[in-house]
Amino acid sequence: MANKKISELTAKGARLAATDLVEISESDGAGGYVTKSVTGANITGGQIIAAVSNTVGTTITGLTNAISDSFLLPANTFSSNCQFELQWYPSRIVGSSGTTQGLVYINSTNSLTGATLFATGGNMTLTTVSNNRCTRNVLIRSNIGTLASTSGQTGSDYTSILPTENLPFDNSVGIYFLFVMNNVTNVLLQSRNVGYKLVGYNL
Amino acid sequence: MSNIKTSKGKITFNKTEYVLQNFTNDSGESVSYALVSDSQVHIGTDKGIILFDLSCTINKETFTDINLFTAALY
Repeated sequence: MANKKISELTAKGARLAATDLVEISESDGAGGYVTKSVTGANITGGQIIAAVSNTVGTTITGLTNAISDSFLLPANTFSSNCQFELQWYPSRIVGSSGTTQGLVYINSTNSLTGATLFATGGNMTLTTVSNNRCTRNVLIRSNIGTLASTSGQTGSDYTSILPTENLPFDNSVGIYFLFVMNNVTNVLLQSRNVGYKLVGYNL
Repeated sequence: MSNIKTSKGKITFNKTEYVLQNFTNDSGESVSYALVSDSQVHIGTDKGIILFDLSCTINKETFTDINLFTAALY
């Protein structure tokens, strides 16, 4: 970095990682400064922004329950004890009748077969275009998750709600999050997941 | 094609053993499974609710009917 302007350095081209180092000048309290490094985790207060969508999911048509969008949570993003919040945004695009839900599954591969149900969004019944911001707070202790009932149809968990308390969640390996649209109640339905984000902390 | 092996209240899929057990559906009922579509079913296990579909075989047998597929798991 010596004799180079910051604008001349190679761009990282990705979000700040928890283990990245940034050079700072720490005040000595007497008008002077000491050059030190801080980690990405120091800067974010430990917050881990694990995933943010940058595209709109594939449109799923009627009579199917299929993947609209997905992302891979890389291995060791979270420890065996962590807490995170997942938000996803299912959207009902077309349909004069029938119900649509945006579901979330997790799996070791980008496939629904053998996937574990993670959350079931609330019913979307409006015949116009409608979105439903869904959210789940997830507490992981020794690789076991506590969250709102995975099979309960609800947008948010900001209420007294039946929990699921034994969901395996081991991020020592990569975990795919699958955003699925369920349009099985009417052949004319169309829907898609329009966004997601996963933010959390290791404990 | 992935195979599901069954054995007295348990199934094995992708080298993972699942104990079959009930779960509470959205109507508050305790059920062992719930059909999702003409080719998919949610199965309650000790490791959560697992989605299986007709792309799987059960004990190497192929199915084209989700009801017969589900019955073969129990």
